[in-house]
Amino acid sequence: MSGSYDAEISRQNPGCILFLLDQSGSMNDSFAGDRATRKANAAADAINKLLMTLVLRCTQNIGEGPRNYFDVGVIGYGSRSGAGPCFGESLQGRTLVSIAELADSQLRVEDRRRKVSDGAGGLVDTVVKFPVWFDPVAENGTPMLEAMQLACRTLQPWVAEHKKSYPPIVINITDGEPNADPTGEAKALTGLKTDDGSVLLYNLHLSSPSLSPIFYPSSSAGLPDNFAKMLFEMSSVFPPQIRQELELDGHPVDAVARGFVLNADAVALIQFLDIGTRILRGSAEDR
Amino acid sequence: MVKLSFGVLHVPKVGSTAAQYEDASAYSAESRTAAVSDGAGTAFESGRWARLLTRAFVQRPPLGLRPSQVLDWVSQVSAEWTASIPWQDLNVFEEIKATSEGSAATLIGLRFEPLAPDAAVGEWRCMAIGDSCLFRVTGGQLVEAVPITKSAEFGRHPALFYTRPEATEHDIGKLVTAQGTWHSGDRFLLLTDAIAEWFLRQTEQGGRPWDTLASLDDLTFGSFVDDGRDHELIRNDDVTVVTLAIEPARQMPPPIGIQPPIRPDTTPAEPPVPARTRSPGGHVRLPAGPAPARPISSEPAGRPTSLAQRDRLRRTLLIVAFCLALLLGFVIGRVTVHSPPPPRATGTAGIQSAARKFAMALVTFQGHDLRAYESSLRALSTRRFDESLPGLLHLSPAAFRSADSNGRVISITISSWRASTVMVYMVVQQSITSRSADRSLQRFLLIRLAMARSGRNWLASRIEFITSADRPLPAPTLAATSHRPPSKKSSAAYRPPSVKPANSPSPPSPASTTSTLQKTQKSGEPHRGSTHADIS
Repeated sequence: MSGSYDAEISRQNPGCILFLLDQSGSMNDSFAGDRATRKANAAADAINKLLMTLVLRCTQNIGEGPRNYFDVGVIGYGSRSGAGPCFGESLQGRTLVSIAELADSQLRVEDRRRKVSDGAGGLVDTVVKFPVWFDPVAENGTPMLEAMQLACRTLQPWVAEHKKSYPPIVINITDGEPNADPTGEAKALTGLKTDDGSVLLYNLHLSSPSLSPIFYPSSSAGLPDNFAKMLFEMSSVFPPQIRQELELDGHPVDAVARGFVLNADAVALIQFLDIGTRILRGSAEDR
Repeated sequence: MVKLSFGVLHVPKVGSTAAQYEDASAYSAESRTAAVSDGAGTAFESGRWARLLTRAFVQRPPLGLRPSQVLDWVSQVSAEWTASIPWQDLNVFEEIKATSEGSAATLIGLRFEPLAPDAAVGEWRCMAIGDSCLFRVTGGQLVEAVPITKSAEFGRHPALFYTRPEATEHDIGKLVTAQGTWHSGDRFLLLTDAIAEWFLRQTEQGGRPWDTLASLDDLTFGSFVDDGRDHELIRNDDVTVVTLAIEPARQMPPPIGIQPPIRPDTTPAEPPVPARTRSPGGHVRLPAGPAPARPISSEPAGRPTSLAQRDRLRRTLLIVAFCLALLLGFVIGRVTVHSPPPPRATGTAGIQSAARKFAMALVTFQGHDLRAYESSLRALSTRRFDESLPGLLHLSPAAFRSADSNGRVISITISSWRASTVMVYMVVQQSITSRSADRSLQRFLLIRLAMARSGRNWLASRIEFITSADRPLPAPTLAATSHRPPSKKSSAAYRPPSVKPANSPSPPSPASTTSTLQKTQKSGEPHRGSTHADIS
């Protein structure tokens, strides 16, 4: 990791968040021991939810449309087409889009039931709107290497055009061993940089059985197998600002902790996406 | 009788239009109350929320309330916010954001209470949530800062008032209240965080940012903030400065030698309440400045005196204080009117150097390298020259691109000097060769440059080009004065008849050929409003 990672997110210097999503056949399996939930669905929901959070964060005034504080993309790998962008509708084939484009083009807006506080200590069912940009897919193998290559090709021009921006954050969500070792491609990806720092690559491993997640390890010593060690080696060390945020959350980590979670369950998935994209908060635009 | 005057200066952050400015301020002369709020950048319709909070503060100040009552007060304003949203016009994301997150803003408000109809002192009360700040300046010193006292204390997550009651409840423990005594001559400033952080940092470095702010007006404020942003002294954020000045009595002081009237014995038996902190955290008296004019009652503690003794002591002290004030005023007046300009050993060199750099960028322009020229100008001043300069130089953009220009600085004269601002006249000779027309053109530019001090730097806060395309200024007269020491006379020699004196507060005469570089529309027009109210 090199750089100061303190560029403020603004319309002049937007941020960039790119998801790499495992869509291999095993993503059809149950998630962390929960038979009712498939990993593919949980991951698609979590990313759709985060995309909505991003659009909401950029939506500030009536009639103004969302402000372009971010470029975002979702690359799926494992489907019949190998590795490729996941967006549908008018964004089909686009790897990176602006927040305004994202807000203009969902597949649909679903009504979802949610329990919310009734203000008197109880919970009531309520219907919330849930925009969907892409559907879960689970088929074929795990071409993570190709996904890393596509990410690299996508971000190369982005970092060249946004020298003053916070570097892109790449979040890779996977559940199993890749077809081929992507370590070299991951290194090339994290070798891309803006003036503010190198690309940050975080890895999240989703577990089928119910296991204890391992959060943000500082070394590969306690990791169970070579696959976990490979994901650890590929993951970026957290910049100091993220470490501070973790400390504020009551989860202090040491200076070489990496953006990697093994055996994530649903809670770990949400927490990880939150902390991995924490630059969304605390920028100049936030105040 | 003292007078309370109110002034506000504000500019939006770079990248925002004036309509996207999300700070707000309000003032009520009737209730002698002012408030400033900073809408949280990523909240929904936070400018609307900030405006409602400030308006509610001056209409029904939530001062002296218990936290639970303040929560009720916020809920009432929140209901106004909800009622003001045109729900039927919202798109799906606006609706989700309005219902699930709502809005958030800081708030700081201040109220003045006179102790008696003719009192020159009184009580002030303040309430603050978040990082919008109150500063009190007395006798040229910062003596009070609420709720933040050090520039390092500005964080990423200030406490806020939310439209969602449960979120406000979470932050209500961070509410800060403060009160103290105001004195005639005091200045109170209410600033949003970016300029407040700059203000405290300047103070920590030995500066007098209150003087800098006092020297700015609606014409100069925008470019001053732009300069600060370019030099990374001021964060890019909406900026608001509200100034409340308690001005001394309007009647003339008695002439020297006449004994001041002794206050009748109807003086309130209770002395004015000294400043004190009432609530936890945030509000401290800064040790830097001299103590404000203390109430007469500040005699040594533990020394019992009779009422008659107290009265005698009070009268004596009043007379002594009045005489001292008169003497001081007289001395200051003498210095201001009659003394030569203050020492300029290093300051002059700094100004001359900054002005010369600016002028050299102007005159060394080569037509083929417009980009480098513009960027060098931008490095020296935050003005957006790319749009305005060709017009000011009476060149069409096409001619500008096809022309070569060179020239020299003929003279730089400092024509007026105050603690934190100077007015500089520069005469620049520019030679322009138009390739297309195959002819050369000589032009003299008279430039008036207002510069404001920010820490150790002098920044251009206003630039006026005074020139005539038809009648270039006579070169020999100008050249002859190039190295004279600055004086009123030399600056006057440069002035076309229609241009007002440099230190004139009024804008240039419309009859002159003056072009004032206005702040570009990109970052919105600065605004100043002002009003007055009698405080007692």
